[in-house]
Amino acid sequence: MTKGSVKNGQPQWRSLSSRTNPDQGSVREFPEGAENLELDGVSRRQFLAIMGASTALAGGLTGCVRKEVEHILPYSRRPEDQADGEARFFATNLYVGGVALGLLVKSQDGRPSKVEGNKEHPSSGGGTNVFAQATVLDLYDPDRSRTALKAGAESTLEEALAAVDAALVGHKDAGQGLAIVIDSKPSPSNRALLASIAKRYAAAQIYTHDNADQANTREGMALVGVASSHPVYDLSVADVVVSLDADFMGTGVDAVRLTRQFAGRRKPEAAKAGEINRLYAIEPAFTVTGATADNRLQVAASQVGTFARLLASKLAASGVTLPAGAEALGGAALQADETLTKWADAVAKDLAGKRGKAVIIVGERQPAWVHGLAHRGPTRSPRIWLPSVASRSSSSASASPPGCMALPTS
Amino acid sequence: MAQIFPRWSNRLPLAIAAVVPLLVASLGGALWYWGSPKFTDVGYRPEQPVPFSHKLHAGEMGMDCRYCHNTVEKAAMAAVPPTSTCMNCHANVLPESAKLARIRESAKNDVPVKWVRVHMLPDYAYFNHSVHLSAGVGCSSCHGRIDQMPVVAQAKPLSMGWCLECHRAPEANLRPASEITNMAWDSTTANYRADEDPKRLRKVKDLHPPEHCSGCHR
Repeated sequence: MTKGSVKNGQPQWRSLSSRTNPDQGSVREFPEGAENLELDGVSRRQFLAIMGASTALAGGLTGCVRKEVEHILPYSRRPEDQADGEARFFATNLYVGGVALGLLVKSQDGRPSKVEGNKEHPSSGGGTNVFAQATVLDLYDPDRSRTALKAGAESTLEEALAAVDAALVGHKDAGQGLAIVIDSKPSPSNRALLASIAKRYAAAQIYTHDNADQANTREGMALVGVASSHPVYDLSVADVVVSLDADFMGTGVDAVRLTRQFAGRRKPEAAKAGEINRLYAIEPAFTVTGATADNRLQVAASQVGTFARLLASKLAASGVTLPAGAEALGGAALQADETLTKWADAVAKDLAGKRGKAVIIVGERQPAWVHGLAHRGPTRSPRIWLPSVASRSSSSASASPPGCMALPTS
Repeated sequence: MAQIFPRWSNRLPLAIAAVVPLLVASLGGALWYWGSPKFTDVGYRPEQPVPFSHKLHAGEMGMDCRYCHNTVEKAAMAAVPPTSTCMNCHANVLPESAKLARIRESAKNDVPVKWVRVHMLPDYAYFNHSVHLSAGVGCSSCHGRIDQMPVVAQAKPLSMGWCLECHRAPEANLRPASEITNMAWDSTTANYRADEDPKRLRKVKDLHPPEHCSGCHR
């Protein structure tokens, strides 16, 4: 054991503990005598020798003995039409961020083994994305909760339901202190149930929690008067697509369908007919969408909104009517550098000729006001302020539960 | 100076030349005989948890193979029947038999019966029952006279060489579709020419049983 050494007048240390506590001296990495470790009368070297010999014998001799006994455990009651060992395919949906992706799941003897896209589902057309592929791993995740938990400890579903029953049934008040956290599944039944809960417990709070929730998009649309919705784009009719920090071909929630639609307009035959689409990407980071774009501008994330404001003002100047309140979005006075202005000019010029055949998509990570700026507003009439006609909004007419964040609709 | 090696050591190379090939040959011969699936696998007859007799059911009572192994014509695996198939009859036939206690227990508690696999094809060899049936290979060609076995035993070696023998010249093992489950079918006395059968769904010349590695090791 050496005391903390001193070199060039500076105390030297080997670990954080010896630095904070220099008087302890340096601590040995391995305990004294580790090289001669002896357990149950067998030294480390002897142990390795025995292990080596038994491994060699096990490997060399098992080939000479009879095969292991194998068992067959058939069903006691076999499901109808099940042929053991044959794969069966089930059609299902995966919800990510309120968008349903149609899937076909291959199942082998009751164990799902592979996820593929459902050709007959419009959101998939036979394709999947990383989220869908990962669901198989998710299913067999050892950390996946298999039962209800109570204060971190394992419980049963029956117990959990009984506890909820006890807490809610006979509750005469309006549900003060009751909060429900739920994912953002775009299910009408879900929504109806939540609405009935909200009716019974008026003071209850219902929150959606979802990693891919489109909260900014919804909030932005609410700014221009469209409540409880998110846009659903149809790129098959779009001649010009403007992506404002939207990776709609990569990590976007509806990427499978949008990529297919976008690619459908990228055929060489379409180019001959003058119908090939054009994509502008204004984004702060490299994305699949940016790599595909005809024209890509890399700007800081904060500048994407500035670009949207520039574009809106150019379009307004060319005679497009903005929805009420749109001009106030973005706050302070507009300041933009030369590149942004030049780009906004060019994009606005392109869009002006494509009224009704262009889409502006804003990425979820942009703030709500950018989304509001890009949306055409509540009108369903042909008079549209921004050329994002191809975006159609579906609003939920049913009243959202009070105190509830707007639930997305599909 | 004394000799290091005694005189008899002159004969040592001759002795080695004579003995070593003999040893090698006998070792090879022993492996060839006792290591072959014909010796190690044929006759494997494990005890089953329920003393089900194929001799009684398939032989004496004449039940069709496909009543229990019902997926054999459409799937790779000829499924071992679920307990509910047994109970179709045994709910009424011998409902109190002690031999059937495991079956009743399985049906009542919805737990599987742990049968012992007799025909153990390795996992690296692919086999499809339905393809062989549709080609006209009968059950007994590979499984032997199951209808005469009180306890099922492996009748054929199921080795690669044995598979290939038939894949190279399948004609002798083909039979008409109507005789697929006929245990008593004998190709030597049946006088059946598969290539001249007009009712065959798959012509013999179109069968192409794979002889390349990836046909089965895929």
